[in-house]
Amino acid sequence: MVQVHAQGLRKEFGSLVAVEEFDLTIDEGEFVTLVGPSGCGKTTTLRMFAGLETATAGRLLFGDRDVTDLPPQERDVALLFQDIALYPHMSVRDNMAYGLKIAGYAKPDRYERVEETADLLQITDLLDNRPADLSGGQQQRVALGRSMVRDPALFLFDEPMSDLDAKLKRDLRPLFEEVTKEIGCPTLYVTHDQEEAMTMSDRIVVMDDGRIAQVGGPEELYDDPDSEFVGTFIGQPTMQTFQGRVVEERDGLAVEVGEHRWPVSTRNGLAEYTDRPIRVGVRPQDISVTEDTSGGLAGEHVLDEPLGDRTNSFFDTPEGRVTVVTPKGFRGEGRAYGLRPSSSELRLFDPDSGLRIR
Amino acid sequence: MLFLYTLIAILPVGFALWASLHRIPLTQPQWTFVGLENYAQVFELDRFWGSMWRGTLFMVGSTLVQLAVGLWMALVINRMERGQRLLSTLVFTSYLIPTIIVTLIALFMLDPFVGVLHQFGASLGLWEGYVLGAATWNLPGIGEVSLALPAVVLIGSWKFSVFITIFALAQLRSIPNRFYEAAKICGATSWEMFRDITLPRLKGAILVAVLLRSVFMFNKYDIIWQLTQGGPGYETTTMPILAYRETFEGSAYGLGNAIAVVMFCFLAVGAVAYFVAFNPSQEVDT
Amino acid sequence: MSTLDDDESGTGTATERRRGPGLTRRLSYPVRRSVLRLGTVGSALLLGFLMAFPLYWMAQNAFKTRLAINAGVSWLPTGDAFTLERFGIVNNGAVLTYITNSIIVTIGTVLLVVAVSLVAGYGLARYDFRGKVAFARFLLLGYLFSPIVLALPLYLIWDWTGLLNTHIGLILALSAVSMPFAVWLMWKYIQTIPQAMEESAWIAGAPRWRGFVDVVLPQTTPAIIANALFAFGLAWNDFTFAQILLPSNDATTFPPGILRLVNASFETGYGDFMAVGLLMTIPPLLFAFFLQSYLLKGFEIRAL
Repeated sequence: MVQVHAQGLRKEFGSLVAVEEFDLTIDEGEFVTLVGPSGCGKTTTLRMFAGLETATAGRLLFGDRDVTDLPPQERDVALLFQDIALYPHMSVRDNMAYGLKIAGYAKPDRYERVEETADLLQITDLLDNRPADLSGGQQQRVALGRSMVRDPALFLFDEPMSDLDAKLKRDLRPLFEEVTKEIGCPTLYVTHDQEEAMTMSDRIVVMDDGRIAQVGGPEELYDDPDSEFVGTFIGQPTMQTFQGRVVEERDGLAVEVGEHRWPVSTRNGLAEYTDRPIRVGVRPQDISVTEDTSGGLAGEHVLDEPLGDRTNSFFDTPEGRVTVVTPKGFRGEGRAYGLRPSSSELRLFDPDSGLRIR
Repeated sequence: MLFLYTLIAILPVGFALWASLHRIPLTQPQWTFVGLENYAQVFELDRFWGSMWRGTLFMVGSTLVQLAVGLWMALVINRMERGQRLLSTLVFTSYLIPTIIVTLIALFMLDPFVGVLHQFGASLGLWEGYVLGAATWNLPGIGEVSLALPAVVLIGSWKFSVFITIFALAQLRSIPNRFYEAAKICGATSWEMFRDITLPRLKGAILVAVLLRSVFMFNKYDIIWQLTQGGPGYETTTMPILAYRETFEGSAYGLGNAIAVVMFCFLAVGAVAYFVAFNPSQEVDT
Repeated sequence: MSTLDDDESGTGTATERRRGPGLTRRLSYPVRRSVLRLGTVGSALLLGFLMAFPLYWMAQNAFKTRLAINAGVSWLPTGDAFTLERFGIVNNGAVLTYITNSIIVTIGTVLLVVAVSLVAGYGLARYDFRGKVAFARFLLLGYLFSPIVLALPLYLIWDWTGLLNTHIGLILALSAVSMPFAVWLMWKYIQTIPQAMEESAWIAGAPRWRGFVDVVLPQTTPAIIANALFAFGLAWNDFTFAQILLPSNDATTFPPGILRLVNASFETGYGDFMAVGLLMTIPPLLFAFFLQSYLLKGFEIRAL
């Protein structure tokens, strides 16, 4: 097992640049998730790792083996497809054994290994079925089995759960993690679902418009986003953003949103924004609701979404609609409230570049 | 709609059955009931058994050539990166071009005096006489063999191979790309992908196409008649040609219909056997 | 994990183990790829040549004088050999009649096939009736009918009913032959159109026929075009039925008519036939170029 390095990967389709300046190292046994909105280039990147697309520029190394120009056949990767791609004309057993057959293993060896894998995935009773007879979750298990029997050097997942229902996703998530830990190879997992990314990954790569926006652990991205894009992409409910201004007060700088001001602790870059507009972000979890309408941003309650352990509440304010996570049992009843963000949790971004002001 | 179809498809068969039990001179249609006499006569005819043999040869030969060429062409077109549209236009042209024009071109190209193909073959020493006429090959162990039948098979295949091509191409297009990608990830070579993905997916369609081609070629009347009128002698007289010749040249309408009925039975039995053995429609469904 | 590592004790590096025993026999990837590419390009050139050469030969000889053709093989009509006179054959009364007849019969067949297949296909797709499956099998059986097996009985039937030597008679016969495929294709195609779309039209107050016309019909365009093309190919091509059902020289269509000329006439030479052949090839050529995706779609329905 080895590290996987990508150096300056770039992919153009005609005049369209799909991916550029992609640098990443995935360690042995590390689970890295590539996340971003559709069209951000994450699937193209994964296909370059798999060899299904050839990089226009840049290098790809598996350990010290340069695989940049190798076809997928010679890369020793495993790939789990979004649409599963089991062969309908083969039994589950033969589907799983296919990679071993190609590698030239004798039939008894192949089947023995398939049985072992099937045992691990708890699909032994399905081995003699045809893929068409299986449910979506079972199919994806089989596909997982097919990918893992061959001891890959790199495990790739291309949105493998986007067509499955929520409960199946929760069942499969730990399975994917266990399996990749067992195999111990580097893993690259592509998804557009930030929740999947947060729950499964050692590290997350957020992509935006063909470029890496930020790389980091789940908490790091959540607490310390580098840009407004990352901040709003990661976390549920979405980070609330406002148009604000930086103003100078007697005891330091403050951020002004609407008619309210919140002091902010001194940040190195902030001074130069004085009297200039700025983007202010705060997570719904970090806004408190008070009955006192002058105690914060005035908001008229619209509706509640009870989630059991907490409630998502929506308010109409002069600054637009605001989502707040309120305690269990909260019912706004359409009255007016004051919304007060915790000033230590404010994230400030440059209004033009969207980059974080630290 | 059922009615029209029944009218034109069922009625003639019944009519043929009925007519085949009569002696009917074509010029003055007076029906004389003769029972099974026509059938007895059919099975006694030397030319019937000869035509059956030649018809089978024509059918098997044509189907094999068409299968090989058609499949080859489909795979090539499917793989081509450039000029795909050009080649497939040629393919569809030869599918839609009237048979009579293929015949005209073939007659012209094989003309013993001005035909380009005739001269090409003659200069290689492949033949001397008219290919669709007197030319023969002396095969060791078999003796003199007329070139007319093989020539008709090849000319027919020029037009009809593309049927297989189009059939296979449609099937090839319907194989999702992700199957190939999954196989590539497993390390499969192009040959292995062909063997393990393309061929199994194509099998059903190929079986169907082979069935249809066999039936069509066994029934083939137009191109043979246009090229040779069944000649020289009876060298290219297959079953449909024989039925036509007996009816209109021999003026024996009842006999002609008897041959038609026999043909139909022969095909029906063959087709049922084929369906039982391979069950192509089920293959196609999956 | 013990399951996957059980051959850990074996010799060789991890990579060798992973790649298995089979990969060592192979040619290297670049070699395989260039062999494959060479094979594809070579095959394409060869097949293209085989397909195109007869057409080229027809086309170039359509522009040659009779003298030039009789002088033997030449590759292009240059200099004195070039002429447009050959196309004058269309003014030959007989040939003009044949072509007109062919056009009438073809148009009639295409219209009839499209109309009937639409109605029948819709009926099969949307109504359940007894014997539906049997009917489907029966459609399949339609393939086994040899044109000759149909045409011989039809000859006398048409003779009695006065349809012999009429365009209608031939149109009916040709439609019957195209029908199994056309109905099947339309049936399968309409099945792919969700019934909910029609149902929403009914709920909006449209009667059944309005639903069919407004919702189903527009979506069947590809199948209609495919059916029309197949019917065109059949009718434009047909020789057997026309020869038997249209024996009269005035009524017959192009294929049997031209064959009579070939076998009987010494006034017309190969150049003339090539010229008229070229003219008759132009419609199929245009269809093939512009409508090939529809043809392919027709086959994709895998209408058996």
